Formats: sequence, structure tokens, C-alpha cells
Amino acid sequence: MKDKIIEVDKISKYFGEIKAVDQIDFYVKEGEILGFLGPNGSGKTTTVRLLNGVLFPEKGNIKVKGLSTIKDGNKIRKIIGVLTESAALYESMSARENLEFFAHLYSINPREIPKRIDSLLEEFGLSKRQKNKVAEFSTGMKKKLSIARALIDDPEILFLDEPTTSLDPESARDLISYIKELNRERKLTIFVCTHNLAQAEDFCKRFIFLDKGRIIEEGTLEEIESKYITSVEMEIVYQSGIDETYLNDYKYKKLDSDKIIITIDNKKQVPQFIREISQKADIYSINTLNSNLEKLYFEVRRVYYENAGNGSNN
Amino acid sequence: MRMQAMAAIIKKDIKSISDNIQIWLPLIILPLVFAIIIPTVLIILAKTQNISAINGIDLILKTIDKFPAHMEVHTFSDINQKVLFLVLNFMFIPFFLMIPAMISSTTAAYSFVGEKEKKTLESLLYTPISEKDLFVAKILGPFIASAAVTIFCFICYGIVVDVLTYNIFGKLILPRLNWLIAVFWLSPILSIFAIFFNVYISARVKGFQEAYQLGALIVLPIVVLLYSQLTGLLLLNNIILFLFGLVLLIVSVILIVKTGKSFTRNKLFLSQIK
Repeated sequence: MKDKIIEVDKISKYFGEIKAVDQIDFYVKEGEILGFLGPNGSGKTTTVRLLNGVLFPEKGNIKVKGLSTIKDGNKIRKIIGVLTESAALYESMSARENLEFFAHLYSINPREIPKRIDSLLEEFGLSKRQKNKVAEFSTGMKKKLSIARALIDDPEILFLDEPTTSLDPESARDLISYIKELNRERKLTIFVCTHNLAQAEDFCKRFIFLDKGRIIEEGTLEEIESKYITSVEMEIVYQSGIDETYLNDYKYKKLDSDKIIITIDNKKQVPQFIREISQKADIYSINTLNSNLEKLYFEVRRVYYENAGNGSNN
Repeated sequence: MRMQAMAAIIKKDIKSISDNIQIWLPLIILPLVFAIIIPTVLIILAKTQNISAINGIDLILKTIDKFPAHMEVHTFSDINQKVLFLVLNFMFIPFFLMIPAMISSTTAAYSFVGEKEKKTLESLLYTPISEKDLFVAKILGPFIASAAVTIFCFICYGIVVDVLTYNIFGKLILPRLNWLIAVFWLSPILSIFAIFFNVYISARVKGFQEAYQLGALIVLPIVVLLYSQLTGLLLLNNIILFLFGLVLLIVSVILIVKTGKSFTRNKLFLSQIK
């Protein structure tokens, strides 16, 4: 298909006895932000390395823009930017020297390099420290510089492996909004591996859940939700004095004199319920509790382990 | 080949050596001792002392007697002249060959294992540089460093020897063909051999220290040369120097083919993440 920029066909990668990636199939659409989620050791980083052609799969095929990662690795790497936790910067070189060095490795026109570096340093707030050695940088600054490095050749696909760990909340927020902007304005395809489910929910359009090298679920939040979540849990804050006999038709738990958690078995009953309860009491807020990515993540894993009989993991 | 990428790697590697005093200081001191200090001391001794009084000098004199009659060393009548001529012209060559061997060995170990140790090899492998370009660039850095220091030291040695011995011999004794073969034929080959020996080792060890220690094995063939010289077993004449280079070249080519085969992205990457 034309809009699939990455196509992965039943790939496996073993390290000795360990199946790091075990027969996975998936695709990445051009211009989307895909969240690759899973616990430590589930094969996220190995997948990134396979997709970049620095590791070869034992079985299966990977096509990036129609090119094979085994035969045309360098053509693929030319259009890809990668951030992984283990790919280090040169500590004895300055921030600017690092970016210059990598710009040359991507064979960027030497006349374009200073301009490109200036704008990246500016974007990541590193302009003032550009002449300092990377060894003097904080972990967060190194991360920012690594992301700038990943963007040096204006890639078409960006791989981000745990992009926000070690960033302070402010920098993490800035980074996410910058990534969203790149995606929106330049149609940059982004592949994000992360543990941070709240952030993933904020900026990924589609998700793949990984466990022990296998894909256990994939889809948009809505798609996965419709599969796993039938009942809706809501937290309602109201002015005290609600008629509790009315609530007896539902499963509920009183948290406080003015706060309850209520479970509605069918999502379709929710609008009707809200209309009704707003007539019975003065409502301050209603929050859905179980339709966020984090709840969904654990639910998907729970169901997977239940069905697969793989024994409990979480 | 992408010259821009290769040039960037060579420049970076040379800079990282020149920025690291622990690496380059010993690389400069030892060659300067060989090229300037030891010959100066020897020449001053030969000028001021009667060499025939030195213990064990008989051995060297006997060696000289064994030399073919057409050799230049027999044109000098004075013992001091004979011994000095022999030492400066022949016995110094093995010492001198330590320079390219040592420099390329150390810089190659640093250049290959250094990337692995600092986890920057992974970063390099994510870029679109081809394995061949990376391989050649990584080898050229240590080679250029080694060639530059060797030629510089040879020039220093030549100047010191000629200036200090002109009034002893009444003529310039350097450069001579055997030295030119040593510097421009044997040294580069020895460098290449040392570099590939290190690349071969680097792929099999974890850290710089380990590679550095194993890399020191490279001086073994030179020690053999030196020993054979001192005992008069073998005279480093032009043909022998040339043949010695040729043998090393053949061994190097075998090493190049062997290391080149295992220099694939996949294997390099696995060596990084192990």
C-alpha cells in the first residue's frame, strides 16, 4: 500500500535462546505518530534497531519506503533520524562539533550545515552552550542534543526511544509540542517507544502493545477501547445530598459525602445517565476513569495473560 | 565513497588523539628519545671517549669484520668511526621501526575500541555511512598519524646525525638507501600491519586497556630484528629490509581480508551491544 511507509512482515530476532522479537507483523502509515508500548525487555529497542537495518532479522522482511533494510540500509538511514538511549554523543567534543560531525556523516552540503545547526541549537535552547563540551552537559541537555542530532538531516521518519526520560516536565512538554508540530507541519512520520503512557496518549495517534517480543494489541485508542472496555467508570463530584435510592440501580462506591465512583455496564447508557443525574443533584464534575491509555494498557495485558494462559505478569 | 563523511571521521579521530594528552604525550616522547636524545648521547660519547675501551665492544668489531669487503664501513680506519657508522646506520633501524609500530598500534586501539567503549559506535552505525567508508576512514586516521610522526622523527634523526657527525666522517652519512627503505617502505607496511592487528584484536576484546596490552605484541617481530642485528646474525641490508617488508605486507593483506569480512554493520552492532 502506498501510504504505508514501513511494512514489517513476520520478523524474528533471537539473541541466543532469547526471542527478542518473535514473528511480529505491523505497518507504519506515512505521517502518523505511532506509539510502541511495552514493558522493559519486550523488544521495543530491538525493533527500532531492526527497522534501521543495524541488526538483521533471523526471519522475515522489513520494507522502509519500499526498500529492504538488508540491501538498502544506507539509503534508508539517509531518510531516518534515530534517538536511542544507548547511542552516545562524543563527550570530548562540543555540542556544535557533535552536530557538525554528524552533518558530515549524512553528507549534508557543507554550506548548509552552519544554518541548519544554528536553527536546531536555537530550537532546543542550546545556543548559549554550543561551545561547551558535551561531558559538561546535564542528562537532559544531552537528550536534547541527541534529538537535535536525530533531526540534523531533516528526516522523513523519526525514531524516538524513550524521548522524555531524564527531561524535566517543562522540557518534556516542550519536546512533545515540538514533535507534534513537526508531525503536523512537515508530515514527519514518528515512531515512539515509551513507558510514559500519559505522554503517549497525548501525542500518539495509534498504538502497538508489545510483550516478550510479540504484538498483543494494536489500534487507535478508540479501537482498542471498544474491544476491551464495555463498562464505564465515572467519578462524580456533586453537592452533598443526592438521593441515594436513585443510585441503587447502579454499581457505585461512595468515596466522600460529595464524591462517588459509579460503574455503568454499557457505554451507550452514559448520556441518559448524565441527563438524569444532573436533574437529581448539582454536579460539579464528571470524570471517566477507565478510558485512558494507562487503564487500557493494563487491561489489554490482563486479558492477554488470561487468554493465553501465560501466567500472570502484572 | 563519500569523501565528506570519511574526512569528518579522520579529522575527528586525529583531533581526539591530539586533545588527549595521555595518549599523545607518550607517542611523542618515545620517538623523540629514539630520534634525538639517544643518537646525540652516542655521538658525543664516540667523540669524547675511546670506544675500544668499552666492555663488549669486541663483539661489534667482530661483527664488522664479518661484513663483505665492499661495504662502506671498511673505508674507515678509526674504530670510533667504524662503530659509530655501524650503530647509526644499521642498529638504529629496528629502534626506529618501533615508532610506526607503536604509534599506529596505540592510535588504532584507541580509534576502534574507543568508539565501542564510549558507546558512540552505535551512533555511527545509525548514520548512512557505508561499512567500507567507515573501515577505510578508521584506518587512515592512525595511518596518517603514524606516517607523520615517523617522517618527522626521521628528519630530526637525519639532521642530528649529520650535523653532529660531519666532522667525524667528513661527509653526510644520511639519508642512505637502507634508511629510505625503512622509512618509506617498511614503516608504512608495519603501520598497516599494526593497525589491522589491532582491528583484529579490537573486535575480540572489551576495553581499550586490553586491546592496548595485546597490541604491544606487535613489537615482537621488531625485537627479533634487533636481536639478530646485535648478534651479527643478520645484517639489515637493502634486500633484507625489502623482503621483511614484503612478508609483513602479505601477512597484512591476509589480516585485511579477514578483518574486512567481519566488518559488517550487523556484527559491529552486536559487538557494541554485548
